[in-house]
Amino acid sequence: MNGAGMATRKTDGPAGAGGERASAGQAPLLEIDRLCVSAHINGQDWRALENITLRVDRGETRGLVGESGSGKSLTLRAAMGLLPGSLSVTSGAIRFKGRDLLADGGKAMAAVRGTGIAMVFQEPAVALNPVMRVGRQITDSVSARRGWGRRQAREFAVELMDQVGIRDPKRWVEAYPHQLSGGMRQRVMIASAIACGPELIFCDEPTTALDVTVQSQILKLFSKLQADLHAGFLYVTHDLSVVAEFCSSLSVMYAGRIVEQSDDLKAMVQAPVHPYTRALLGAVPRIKGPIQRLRGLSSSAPPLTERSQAPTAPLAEVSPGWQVAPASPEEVELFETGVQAWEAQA
Amino acid sequence: MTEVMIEKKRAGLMSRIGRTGRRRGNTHLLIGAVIVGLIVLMAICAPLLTRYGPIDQDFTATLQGPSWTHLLGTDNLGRDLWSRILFGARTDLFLATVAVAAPLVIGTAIGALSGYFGGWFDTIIMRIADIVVAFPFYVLVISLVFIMGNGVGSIFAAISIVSWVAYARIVRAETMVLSSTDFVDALKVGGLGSGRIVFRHLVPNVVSQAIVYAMSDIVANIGVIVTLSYFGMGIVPPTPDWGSMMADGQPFFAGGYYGLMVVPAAAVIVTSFGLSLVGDGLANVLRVKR
Amino acid sequence: MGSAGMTGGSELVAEDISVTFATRRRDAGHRALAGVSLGVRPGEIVGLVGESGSGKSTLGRVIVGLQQDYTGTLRFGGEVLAHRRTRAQRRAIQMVFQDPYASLDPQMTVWKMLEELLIVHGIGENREARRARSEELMRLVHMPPTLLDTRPAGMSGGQRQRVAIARALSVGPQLLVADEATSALDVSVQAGIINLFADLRAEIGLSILFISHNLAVVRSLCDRVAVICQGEIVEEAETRAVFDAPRHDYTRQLLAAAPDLP
Ligand SMILES: Nc1ncnc2c1ncn2[C@@H]1O[C@H](COP(=O)(O)OP(=O)(O)OP(=O)(O)O)[C@@H](O)[C@H]1O
Ligand SMILES: Nc1ncnc2c1ncn2[C@@H]1O[C@H](COP(=O)(O)OP(=O)(O)OP(=O)(O)O)[C@@H](O)[C@H]1O
Ligand SMILES: [Mg+2]
Ligand SMILES: [Mg+2]
Repeated sequence: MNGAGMATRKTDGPAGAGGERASAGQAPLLEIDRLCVSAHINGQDWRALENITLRVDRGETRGLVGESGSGKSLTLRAAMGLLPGSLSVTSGAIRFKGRDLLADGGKAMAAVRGTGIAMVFQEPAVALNPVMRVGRQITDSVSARRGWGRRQAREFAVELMDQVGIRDPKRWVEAYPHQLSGGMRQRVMIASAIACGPELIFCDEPTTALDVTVQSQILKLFSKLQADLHAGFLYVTHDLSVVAEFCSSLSVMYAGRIVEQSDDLKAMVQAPVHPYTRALLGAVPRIKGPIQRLRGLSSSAPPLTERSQAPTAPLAEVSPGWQVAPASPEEVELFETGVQAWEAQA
Repeated sequence: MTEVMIEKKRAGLMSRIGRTGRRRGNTHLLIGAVIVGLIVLMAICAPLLTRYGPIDQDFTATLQGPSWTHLLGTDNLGRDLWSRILFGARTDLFLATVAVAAPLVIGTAIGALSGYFGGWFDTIIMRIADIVVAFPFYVLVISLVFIMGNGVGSIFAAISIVSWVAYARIVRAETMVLSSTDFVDALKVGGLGSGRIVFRHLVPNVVSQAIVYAMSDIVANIGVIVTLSYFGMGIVPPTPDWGSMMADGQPFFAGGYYGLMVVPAAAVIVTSFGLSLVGDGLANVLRVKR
Repeated sequence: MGSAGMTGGSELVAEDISVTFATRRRDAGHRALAGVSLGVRPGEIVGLVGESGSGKSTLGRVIVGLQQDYTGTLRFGGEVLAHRRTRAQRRAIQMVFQDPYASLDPQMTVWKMLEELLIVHGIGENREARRARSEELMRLVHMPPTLLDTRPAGMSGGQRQRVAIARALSVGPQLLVADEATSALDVSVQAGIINLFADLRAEIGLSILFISHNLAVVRSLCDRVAVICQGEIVEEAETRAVFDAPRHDYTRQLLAAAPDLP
């Protein structure tokens, strides 16, 4: 697609845990390498993300799951260079096709945003401009970049709307966001994300606000787009069953760290190693199989200021492409047996 | 997860906006509070701050300039300008503040009931409000003055009749927003009566908006009182008041006795400025809290 | 919980309930419910599923008495529920809402919230009795009684929803209508609330009408499921039957759309 102007220079060798997988010669699409982000709160620095290492290849769909406050959105924001003011990257690298996006003071990042990398947000009602016709919103940035006229932009918008499954796009291209249903708005968001032909698409809970049937349609659409565009997806959600529907690989976050990740989602979901992953899976109600009592977990990961500031051990390889963080005895206690205890006390 | 997350995100955003807002709000509030506080203090301690009564005339010392005996000079009847300003503050500030109380209470109650019940009750209230607002204020005041005579009572009545509308509208809008969430339904299912829901749950949640508005309303009231008194329809002499002081000083303006008009005008301006800052600051601080 | 004021179980029977909302144009109006019949037996948890706009909340609101414009009959424990309910009837059916951020008064501490309801309904002779009962309620929803004196502002979504449930339970209902009570929560927090509902049924024999669009959640909690589509119940059976052998096409569609773990 149009990664125009993007230098695809060779990496200085992939670092971090997932290293083995990179075929020699071609750098992975996205590589986040031991990324640390800290938050400046009350004159003190707190670690918000710690040694996040993950990668997304071309055509790969990676799920990033974890409970509220675990740092999923923050990881996406850091990779897009959209961290809020009080947060900053303290160490680590973010490489897009081998090029370090943090290197030249954010210039590389800005060049990639909206052309190489696109993002779909959770709440289309908030992310869309209420007073702009949807057709224009979809093509706004592209037509500016390509110097298109009105007619051309409109035709392209209709084409994209058709591609994301909006029936009768000619009718809706002139509509305003409030005239559309939630599902249609999300489709419009997706259309504007793919307008520039991105190679990597970040999704931050794009279906959490939607009804089951609409959610299922949107997930189908993502699968179709993934096949059409051969783009990489990094899909953030708190709902493991959604991820299982759409993703091929999975990373699990807890309190700003990755606790377990695997290139083979199915294998990991069937035999999770880290106690937190097990607990998270135990909380998901199932459509099939035996009905079991669900496992509740604490309301959310501890806030930044109450997290342990001790350095964490690196992920250990369970099998090729599957890494797990070592769990301390306290964590095992917390996730395995602390469930009922928490329910009783808080 | 959806709504909660959206809500949290919104809250996060608001707190970020809020943080700068609050900082500004705090300085505004601080400066405003200092100004208003000083003026109020001076008004309360007026007898301690001057040797002269506000209506004591001294024909041996008329139209004097500022001096150690008369800090701001005297007027054509030899009354000390400084003490008239101090005692005028008592009259004007007190009246303006008291005149806010009735509309605040009445308007909040009407607005909350109107927003909660909706339907024909709401329609009638809002029509009445439209009519009141459409009626020219000063025409209303002058008619009242004709009926009730000059003085505090007429001013009070005129302001009350008109300004409850603004409170009612503010509170009604906030109440309607709140009522459309699960909030009120949850209370209804709990079996609480309408009166309880409106006055114990809705009003405490919306009244802060009305209070912020009340600050600017005091400013408006000062304007009204001063204007009416200036035109001889408000405070009846010899009660000291900034409006009638300006009126009294006007004939001497051309003769170079600027102070007689400028000093009370400055008092009005500084007071209004201080109150506006307080209102502004309160609005910012309260917006953050919600 | 003996002092909870439970008076055995009563069965809810809704017969042929219809609700039509007036539309702006003066036509027939929008029919949100078209002759729905549904029963909830004592100590039973019934799930009501359907997509957005199918009329789930409308039925819930009719049952708790928030939606007064309806045709059809509601019976609770044999008595017909008139449009104006007696205080005892109102107490008997309580509701928990979707968004615990919107349904709690942010200005009031949990204790004030509970105390007010207890006073209004004349439960507990004095302050000590009411306090004791509030503490008991907190324990019932697995919350430390020390949180009674805090406001909901600082609480997490799961804690707030527990407070909302405690509030609903404070007046001693026999039936709880939970309208999307877990959809606004994280999966792991949701699991805790679902377990709480199951425990409440086991401990105090509470009947629950559990409204949700999440089929997996309904399956893990409910004894019986009713599937609603465009204001009509298209299928109603034991949970197992609905999930293992759905009879209606719409149910099959819903099941096909629901995501699940491999
Ligand atoms: N602007 C900010 N300043 C300080 N801390 C922040 C900021 N934004 C987020 N955080 C903190 O960073 C942590 C991770 O937040 P993040 O939004 O990434 O969570 P998440 O996993 O996306 O959760 P959710 O499911 O709620 O979206 C949280 O503890 C949050 O409090
Ligand atoms: N007060 C109202 N006035 C007019 N129409 C209404 C009103 N309340 C609901 N409706 C309509 O009735 C239908 C059913 O609404 P209801 O809220 O019961 O659906 P639901 O199944 O609860 O959906 P959701 O899953 O989105 O909550 C919808 O089409 C809705 O637009
Ligand atoms: Mg997030
Ligand atoms: Mg609903």
